[in-house]
Amino acid sequence: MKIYHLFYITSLLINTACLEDRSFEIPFLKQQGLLIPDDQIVTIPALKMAWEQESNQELYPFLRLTQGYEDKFLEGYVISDDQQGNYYKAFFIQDDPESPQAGIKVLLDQTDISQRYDVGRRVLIQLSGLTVGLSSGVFALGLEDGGALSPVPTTHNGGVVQRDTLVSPISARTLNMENLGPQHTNMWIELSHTQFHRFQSLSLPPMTFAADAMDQYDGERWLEQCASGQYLVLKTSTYADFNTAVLPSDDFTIYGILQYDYFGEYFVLVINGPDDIVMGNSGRCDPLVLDCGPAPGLHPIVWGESFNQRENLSALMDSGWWAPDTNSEALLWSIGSYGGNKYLQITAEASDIALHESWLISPPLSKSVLGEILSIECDIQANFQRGIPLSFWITEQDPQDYSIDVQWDLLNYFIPNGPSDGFGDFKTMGPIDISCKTGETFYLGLRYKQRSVFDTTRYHIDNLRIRSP
Amino acid sequence: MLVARRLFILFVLFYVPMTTQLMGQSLGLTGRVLDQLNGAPISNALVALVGENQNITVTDQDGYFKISLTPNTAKTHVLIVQHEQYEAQNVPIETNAQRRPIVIFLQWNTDEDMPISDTSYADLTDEGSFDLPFQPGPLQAKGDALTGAQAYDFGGVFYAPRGAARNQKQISIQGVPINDFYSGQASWDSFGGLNDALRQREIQEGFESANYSFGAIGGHTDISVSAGNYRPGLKLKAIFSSKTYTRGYALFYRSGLKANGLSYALQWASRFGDGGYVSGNIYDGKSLLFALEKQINGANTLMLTGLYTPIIKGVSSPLTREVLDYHGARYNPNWGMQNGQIRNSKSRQTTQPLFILTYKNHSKGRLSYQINLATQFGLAKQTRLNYSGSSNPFKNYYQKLPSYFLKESPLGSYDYHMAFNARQNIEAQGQLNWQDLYMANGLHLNSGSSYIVQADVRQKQMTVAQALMRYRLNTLFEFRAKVWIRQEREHHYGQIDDLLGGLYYLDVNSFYRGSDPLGKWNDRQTPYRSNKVGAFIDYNFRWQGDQLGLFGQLQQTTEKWNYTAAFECTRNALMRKGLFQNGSFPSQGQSLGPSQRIVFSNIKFKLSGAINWSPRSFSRINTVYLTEPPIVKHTFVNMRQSNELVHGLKASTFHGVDVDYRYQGNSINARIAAYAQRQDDDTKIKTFFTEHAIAAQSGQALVHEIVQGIHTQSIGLQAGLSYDLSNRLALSTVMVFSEHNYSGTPLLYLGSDAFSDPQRPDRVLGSDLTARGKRKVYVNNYGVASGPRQIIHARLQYRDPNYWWAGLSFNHFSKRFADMSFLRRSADTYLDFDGVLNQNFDSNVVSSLLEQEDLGQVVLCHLTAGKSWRLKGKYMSLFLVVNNLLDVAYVSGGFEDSRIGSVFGLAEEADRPGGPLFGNRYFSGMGRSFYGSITLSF
Repeated sequence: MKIYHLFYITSLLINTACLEDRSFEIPFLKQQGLLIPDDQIVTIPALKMAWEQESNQELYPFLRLTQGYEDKFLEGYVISDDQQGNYYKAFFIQDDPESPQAGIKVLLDQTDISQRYDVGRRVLIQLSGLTVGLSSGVFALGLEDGGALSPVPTTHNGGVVQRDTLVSPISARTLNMENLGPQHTNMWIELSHTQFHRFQSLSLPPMTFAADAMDQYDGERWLEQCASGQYLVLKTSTYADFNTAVLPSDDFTIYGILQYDYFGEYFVLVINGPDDIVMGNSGRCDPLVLDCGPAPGLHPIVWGESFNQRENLSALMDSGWWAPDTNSEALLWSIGSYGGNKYLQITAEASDIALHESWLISPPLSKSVLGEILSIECDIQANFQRGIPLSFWITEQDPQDYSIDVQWDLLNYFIPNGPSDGFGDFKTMGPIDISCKTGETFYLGLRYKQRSVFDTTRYHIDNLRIRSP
Repeated sequence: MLVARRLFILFVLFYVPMTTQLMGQSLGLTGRVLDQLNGAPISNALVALVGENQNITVTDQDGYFKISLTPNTAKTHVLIVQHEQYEAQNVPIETNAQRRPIVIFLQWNTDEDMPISDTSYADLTDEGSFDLPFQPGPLQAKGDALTGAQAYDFGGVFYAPRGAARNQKQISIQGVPINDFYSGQASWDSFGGLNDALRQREIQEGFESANYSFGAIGGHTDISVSAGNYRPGLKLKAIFSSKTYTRGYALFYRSGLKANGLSYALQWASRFGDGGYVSGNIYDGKSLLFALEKQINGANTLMLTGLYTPIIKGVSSPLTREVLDYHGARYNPNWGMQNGQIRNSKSRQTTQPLFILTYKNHSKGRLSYQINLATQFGLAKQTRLNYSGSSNPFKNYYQKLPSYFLKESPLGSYDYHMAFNARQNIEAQGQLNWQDLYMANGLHLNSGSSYIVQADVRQKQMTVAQALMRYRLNTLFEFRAKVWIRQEREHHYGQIDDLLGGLYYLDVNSFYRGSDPLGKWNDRQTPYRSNKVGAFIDYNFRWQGDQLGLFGQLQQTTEKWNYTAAFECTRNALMRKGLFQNGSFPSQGQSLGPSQRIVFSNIKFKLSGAINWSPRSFSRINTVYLTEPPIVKHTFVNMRQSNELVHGLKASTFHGVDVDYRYQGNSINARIAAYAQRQDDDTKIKTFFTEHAIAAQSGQALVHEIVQGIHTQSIGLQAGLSYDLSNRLALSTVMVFSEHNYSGTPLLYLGSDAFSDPQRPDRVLGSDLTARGKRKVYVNNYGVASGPRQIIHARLQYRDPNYWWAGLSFNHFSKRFADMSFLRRSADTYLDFDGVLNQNFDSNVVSSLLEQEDLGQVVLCHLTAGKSWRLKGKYMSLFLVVNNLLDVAYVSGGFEDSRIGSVFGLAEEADRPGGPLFGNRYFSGMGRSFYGSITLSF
């Protein structure tokens, strides 16, 4: 073998050993600011005003943007983020990053919108040919499709939504629940000293954002603000990445966009992700309950009401129960029946009286008859859940003597939650220890109190029973 | 590409009985080698006597040679005559009378340059879970019209001889099988670019008898590399092609046998391109082979063979009819431009050198033997975009196509507007936008990359030790045996190849919907880990397989008859060892740590007989029975995630019989062959996303469809005829008629981490076996997708005495079936998503919905041509092949999408105004394409 053979062989070996390096440098992402003259820019408040004036809000709340909008662009700053899956084919912009006057929902046929239009980015949307109107109750931009708004198509180069290089931090508008109004929808807002309702965040196990058995498309959870006693629904998609996260038990400040529920009926708050909940340190503010210590064991039943013997509500009244508004038109209590089982039923669904408060009070119960150590239990089914208007009380004064206006103590219990779009299952509530009530006679009170017209949950209550050793 | 060859290897086998025994005589054999067409003497041709020992010589200026015949017992003397420009000849040495000088005519080599691995580009398509049939290539070429046409003209339509799948075709080098345990397949990448060095092949069709191999349904090819058998010289080649790579160079150097008994050979090749017929399929392949041989004395040879063929190539995807209509057969959605360069998100890289050490003893006694030690190691990796949890960035995603917006009647102006927009989008830009992916990652740096390039890596370590022996009992009987031990160790893992501008990547399973806080992490042991480039993600496991094997063959040979009985027994052991504790499978041994050890013992038997009717004709019959364990990847429900074995694992059985008749006349070469075979209890696993996983909570899941008890049967009749119309013009025709169908009702169940225990929804079960049991699959009489069943082929070839030649072939393929979905034909099909029987369909509608697609007839014409010159003792030759001369647009294969599995869903798909959303997907055939080369030989 001659020496040049070796040379050739070596060079071939070296050549073969290396394939061309195919690693790629990060591309230089060239971005250009948008240079659109001011006279072509339309603000969101201006567009909203035009819509309110030019469309028939009652019959056909849509405005097709044609004449006069040929070269016009809508300006806004992105406030929503679909990275965690809580939005689908829609994003929200408001007119100013700090002090917004109005916001708009933009329906866009694209997923992972925030991968292009991130929070704080200034965008300009070509308006010509689009339609403004209502989508789930809020002011929105899209394409009209059979009396509803549908997403605007995108193209490979971004389509009608153009991005600026400007990204401004968004400041939230601080609000209180009692002041919330339609003018605050589509905006980035902040609610401080907020907590989740104790039945949802303190129950065992605590509820998740949107992964409980009753959640079908969205999870609806009850936010409360201590100061006002008001509440607001937090709506989370079951497709959100954090749907299985557990609701925080303490108080917090929450940031999000005020919207309406799917059918446009009541307010909901929607967050971009769990980072929009910032834990506070002032502790929870829950109503005072009658706390007689840990729940006792299962003693024999000494008193019970299965409602099976009660043909109707008046039969129940005849047995010693009392409903203060028995004679009113808005009687909400009734006796329901399913599969031969009768139960007490209440709902505000059919009521047209705003903010109803309705009581049902038990006959007097005597400790000398029942025993000293007592606990209460019942079975509850929550159906078509909208709010938690039902509560359970106890008093030692005869309410009839004082027209209900007696010293009531709230019992220590958790009412089970149910689905918002159907019937739930009967679940046992209790046992709740009431032994620390020392008087001889006591009365149980069931209160159904709406905090808003949308508090219409239908409850079925059965097998109210008292146990004693 | 081949016309009648005077003799072919098979004949050698059956002429053997007629050879003289040259025992005890010392004599020389003289002869002359001439050009068959013009009678010109051929100088410098290698003449080798193979058999007991090897004597080698070279013809002189006038084509004469003299070779000594060592006195011996040998009855298997064969003269191999080789020359660069001519087809090699194997000449059996006949009776004593043969001691007169013999004249050997050689034909020009017209197929010399056909690349081994690139006749079809289906290999460059990401087949997903579609089972590509085995496709013959030039490695199959043998000297009759039928095998020649199979090798050269039937490519591009997924033609599979006898319907064999890719794992049913065996390839070995120096007697060492290249097929791996994991897929059962031999990767073409292992010897790409080395065709010059790998020209010595022993080809065994089906179960015909061979020296040291039992055979396989799809045949067996053994490639032998022997530096001492190459004629000394140097060959340089330049390649131009429009198929897979676009350019290439090759060098082949042979030292010839030196006086000291040493010889060596070296082949190097480089092939590259930025996309051949299919756009964006980059190709960068280097090949190196060296063979070193030392003849220690007359009877012992030591050989070292090394092959190293590193390669990176881009991969395309099977496409729906809708997408093909927009972009055509060259479309490949997987690439896009980045910094002015083509970047394909899917590419395959293989760097697996193979070394074989061989010791041969070919002593003069009754016993001769050979020992092989071989090792192969290195990695095979395939990259892909991982966008789990984000939107699909490919422009052919179904939600971006017009059909998606026209999916439901009634259609309004909005729908048409959206569809029109979608159409404009896909027509304007069908390629991946890398910038968008970088931007998406860059806008959310703090939350990690949403898009990454993931590599799926298989790191391999294979070692084989085997011994082969031949023992002659007497003049009639011969016994051959082979014993081997083979170990394969592989490490499979996902790995971050590129973060695409992001800082890190969180390794979560975005499909996880359970309540276990660690459930979404692919490795529970290291949740929240910020993975950087090179980190292991997704899955991480090893497996090891061991095989012990014994092969024995007894052969009796008389003047008229030849009988062979052979058996092979193997014992296979397999174990998986998980290195990740998968989020869905946390329990002891479920995913982490070793699996159960699985052992399969298998046996194969065959009986063959052959009769020589006359020196010109013979018949042969082979019968075979064998059992075969499932391949490694079909042994576990989902090998990437868990240790769970397929329930009721079973070896498949195979029965087959084939008969063959051949006639070799002066100007006619005819062959007719028939076969009947049946395979039972085969197991197959396909992975896909379906909306009809009834037992999953949402009804949708990424599933592993396990189908067991698959029975198939096939019969076939094949005939080939070559006829020399004149000295210059030859015609050959081939006809193939075959059937290859499923029979009986296999059973199906689905594996997925989306299935939970019905009693305890928080517990992931890994399959729907508990919830749904095994379901019947009604596939009786459906066709197996194994290429065309009917073929008519004709070829005309002209050779001019002025050293040029041209050939034209016509090929008509029909009865080609798309691969069908088992899930669509299972008992689940008739159930609604909630598991309730759907009774609203009449059987006529159902059968039309479940009809298997025939991909239609296709006619392909191929042109080949060559010319050679002799320049001062050197040769220069040109070779050109144009495939699909008429540029016919066609699909070579296709398969049904199992995403839709219910009758209701199928009816909905059939009624969609804009066409189905999940229509069949196709591998498109290449239009007109060429391959050409210029070769210089010294």
